[in-house]
Amino acid sequence: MKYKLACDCGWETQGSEDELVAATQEHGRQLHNMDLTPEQAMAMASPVEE
Amino acid sequence: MQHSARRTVFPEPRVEPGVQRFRNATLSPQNGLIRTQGRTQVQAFDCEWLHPENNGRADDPVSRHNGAMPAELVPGLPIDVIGQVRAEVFVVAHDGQQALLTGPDGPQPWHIETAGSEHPLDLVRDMAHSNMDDVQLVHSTSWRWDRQSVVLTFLVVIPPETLGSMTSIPVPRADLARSTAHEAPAEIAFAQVLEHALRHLAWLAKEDDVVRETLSDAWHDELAGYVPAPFEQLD
Repeated sequence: MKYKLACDCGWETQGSEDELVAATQEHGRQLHNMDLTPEQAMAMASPVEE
Repeated sequence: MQHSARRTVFPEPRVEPGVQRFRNATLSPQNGLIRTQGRTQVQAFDCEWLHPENNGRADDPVSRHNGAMPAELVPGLPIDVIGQVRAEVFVVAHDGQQALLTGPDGPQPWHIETAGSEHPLDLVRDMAHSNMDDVQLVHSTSWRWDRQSVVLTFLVVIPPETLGSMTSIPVPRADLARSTAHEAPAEIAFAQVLEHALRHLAWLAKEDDVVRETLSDAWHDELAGYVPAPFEQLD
């Protein structure tokens, strides 16, 4: 299953759960000084209709 | 099980590792936080969720959903910065023709969470240097109360050659938000905050030797069109 996530700043990502978590953690750390857990990242994600 | 993001009421407070419960807590659909009495903010994934169709009755175990926030509660919710002090950064450059608003996440306020262990100015400087090739000035310009946290606004000036592939737009001009004698304005647009930030830079360009010497002639010409203003609370 694929998921998508959009940040307030306009950054968006989508992919598998592992891909989405990794990309979101990197974005949060690099741009917003946030250390997100996988659970936090997935809590903000939504499934992509396929 | 269907969930709604309108309102969730929690049973009696009880302290357990990994589970937080609150009475009269409200789930914010904007940022996925739980707010209690307008003071406590708890990240939603630490909470036990109650099904809203029975108004979150504590005596209905079927309505409970432990663990992570149910995905259907938060479709499309954005990442949000939740620290009690938030840094809001405006990255600007002058290309010789006009002042430009830019930033590593686009021409908009750049939000950075503060952890409390690092001075906000140091944090913003470090983040600016880690995301952009060169930084000329980092200065705090104002503060305000917004979304239940203190927002410290910073202006980061970069040289035009650092713009690179970052998207930029001409700096918008705006009238400043003004409060009544006893109340803050209902809403402050980011253009107003940026307007004040550049007014403060105009003030620094006159009062601060380092700023005066660092800014280019183009910046000094640009800032001549701004009314100088000190650091202040925007209200």
